[in-house]
Amino acid sequence: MNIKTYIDRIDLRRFRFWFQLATFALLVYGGRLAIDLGNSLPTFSCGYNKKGQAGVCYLLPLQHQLAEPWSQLFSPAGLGVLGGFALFLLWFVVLNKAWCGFICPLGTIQDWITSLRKMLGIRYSTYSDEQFKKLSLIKYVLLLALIFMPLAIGGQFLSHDWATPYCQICPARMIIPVFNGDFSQWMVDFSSTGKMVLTALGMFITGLFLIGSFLKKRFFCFFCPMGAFHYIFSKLSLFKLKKEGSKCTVCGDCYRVCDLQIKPIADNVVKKDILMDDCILCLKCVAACPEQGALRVELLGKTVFESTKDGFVKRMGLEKKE
Amino acid sequence: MNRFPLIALVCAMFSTGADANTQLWLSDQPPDKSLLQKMQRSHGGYVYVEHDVYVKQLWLRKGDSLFKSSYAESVADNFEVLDTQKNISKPVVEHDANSHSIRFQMPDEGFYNAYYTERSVADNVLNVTTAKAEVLKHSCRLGHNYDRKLVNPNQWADAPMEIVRLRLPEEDFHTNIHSGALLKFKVFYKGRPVSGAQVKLETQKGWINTKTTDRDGIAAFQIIQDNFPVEAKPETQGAGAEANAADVKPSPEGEGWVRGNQNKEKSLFESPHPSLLPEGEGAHALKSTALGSEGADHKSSEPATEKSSEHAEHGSGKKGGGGHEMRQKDNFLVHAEYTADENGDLNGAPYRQAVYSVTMTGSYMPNVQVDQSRPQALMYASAGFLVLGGSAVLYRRRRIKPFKEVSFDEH
Repeated sequence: MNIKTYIDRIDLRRFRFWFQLATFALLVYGGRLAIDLGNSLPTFSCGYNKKGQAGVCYLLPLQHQLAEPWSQLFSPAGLGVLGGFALFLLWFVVLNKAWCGFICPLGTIQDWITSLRKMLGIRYSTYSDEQFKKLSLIKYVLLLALIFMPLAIGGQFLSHDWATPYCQICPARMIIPVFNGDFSQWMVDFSSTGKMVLTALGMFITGLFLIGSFLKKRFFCFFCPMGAFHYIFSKLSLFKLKKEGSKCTVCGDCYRVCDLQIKPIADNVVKKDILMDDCILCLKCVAACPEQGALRVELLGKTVFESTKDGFVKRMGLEKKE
Repeated sequence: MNRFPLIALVCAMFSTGADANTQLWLSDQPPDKSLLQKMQRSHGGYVYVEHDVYVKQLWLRKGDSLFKSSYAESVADNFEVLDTQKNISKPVVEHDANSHSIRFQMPDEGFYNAYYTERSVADNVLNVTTAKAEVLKHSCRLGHNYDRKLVNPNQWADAPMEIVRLRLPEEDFHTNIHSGALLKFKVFYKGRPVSGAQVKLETQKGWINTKTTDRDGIAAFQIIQDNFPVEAKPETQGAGAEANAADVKPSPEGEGWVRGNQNKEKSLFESPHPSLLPEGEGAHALKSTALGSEGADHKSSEPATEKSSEHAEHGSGKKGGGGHEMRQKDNFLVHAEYTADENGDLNGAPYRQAVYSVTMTGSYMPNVQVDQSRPQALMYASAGFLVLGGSAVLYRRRRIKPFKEVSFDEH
């Protein structure tokens, strides 16, 4: 068995579990080992996890930088913003949205909560098509807010109390530091109206996150502005999800396993580059596809993992029965 | 002509009062505030960046207190700089009509100490006055994987008198001092810890506390729970701070705070001369026009990032809706004094006693936890949890269709 065949037959669920565990440990506890991956990570390695962070989610410095006074932001000194963005892009292009499916600590926590639900035998929830369409816009609204609110601060239109607005409402700020025993972010800050609104909203969303992730697979990813930000640059990535429509029988297996309920992965037999804005590149669709080469993952144009009958049979446990 | 005696009397009163308690200290607030436009903010305050190297400029100030001070006009060139590797060197000294300053490069990360020393003899007493500034060089762009030993304070062994702020637990380059923090200062006389030295800490708002060093040379202060109103006005600060201070239940280190009299004397300094601005007020006024920075406030509730300093120092934009200015930094001045029985002469002037003093400045911010509520936070989180969880349960129940037996009548 060559390497390609071995990869195509891989037990993706087990691989993801261990990979996610390793990256979770790296990003949440790596700081304790003096690991520092910088401030431009394209994933929720929360900067508020001061005790253990091995790097910082790019959305935090981005909001800080955009809140600089306009006289500075729109001057040569503002080139620093581009430097941070370039680093973000360098990290991002390698793995594309697989940062969400394999590395994001908040995504991993959601997967663990999903596992708990499964163990308890409680069924999961789904959105209707109508709900899906409406709710999928929220992440773009959040993305616009996290860009324009800091800009308004820099332009003196908004109080600095509204600084880092997205981080203030992001559940990662509350949840990830907890893994290092830090509950300091579990508070409502009454020092100003802006801080009070944002921190109260942040706590409310944390409550939504905990129950939502229990009821719906990858509940928060659907609203994640980082996912929307990723999608803008996903065409530049070296890592791509491709579909061969002619080989697809529209059986719907890929849709049924998709945590984000992305329908075009099954329905669309025309589009080659099938990566959608909600996709987290978990590759469950590729693993669940029974058709040879219908779905594949490419790195620099070279197929690294694709759907195969053989792999499907192995993963479904049909091999032994035969 | 008639006014002359009155002016002379006021000047005489002023000069007499100033001489009685005059202190010297080093400050990074320039007399010409337009200079700030050429600088960048950094973790260690304003710096010039020349060929990618931080250059710090410090001015010598003198006065009774932070509130009542001016720039020193005539000084000797007795300046030294202790770098992060504990090498001592002479900085560049710049003189102009109204002020004297030093400039030195800060190529490495860590703390740099600057010293100014003045010696004089009067009434057979040798006065040795040292002004010290401790300046941090840290750039988040260089990452945070630095040697933690660099956070430790550096001590100049040859200083006639030295004061060192001992570090807070888990202090790093992003740590800010907040109200309520327990600050410990260690005083050295000729390189050795000295007990019995008087240490006075005075805040920008005029709160004063005095301690005596213990046998290890340490004096501890719990920084007063000061008040930082959003629209800070000198007239209201006093009453607010007093009211706030009354709520505090201080530890032994927090006892002993008394109110200074700077408000009463303020009227003498309401003139527009910039050199008479209270220490730190220049920065306060320049908040909205500040140049770029790299961040200061991280230990409170903000994480360490490349550009997060504005929390502590920028304060740009409109104020929030009431309450306190949580990002405001107020300065404090520490003054330690020790009297020793020494005989000798200085340039032919004999003395039988020596009074050594040293000053150092620092800054503190409001206690962020004062305005935070955990029960409310749990209430909001519970609300989110129950709203979505309850909705899901109700939705699922509503969709359950009761079993209905269907029977077919075949006749």
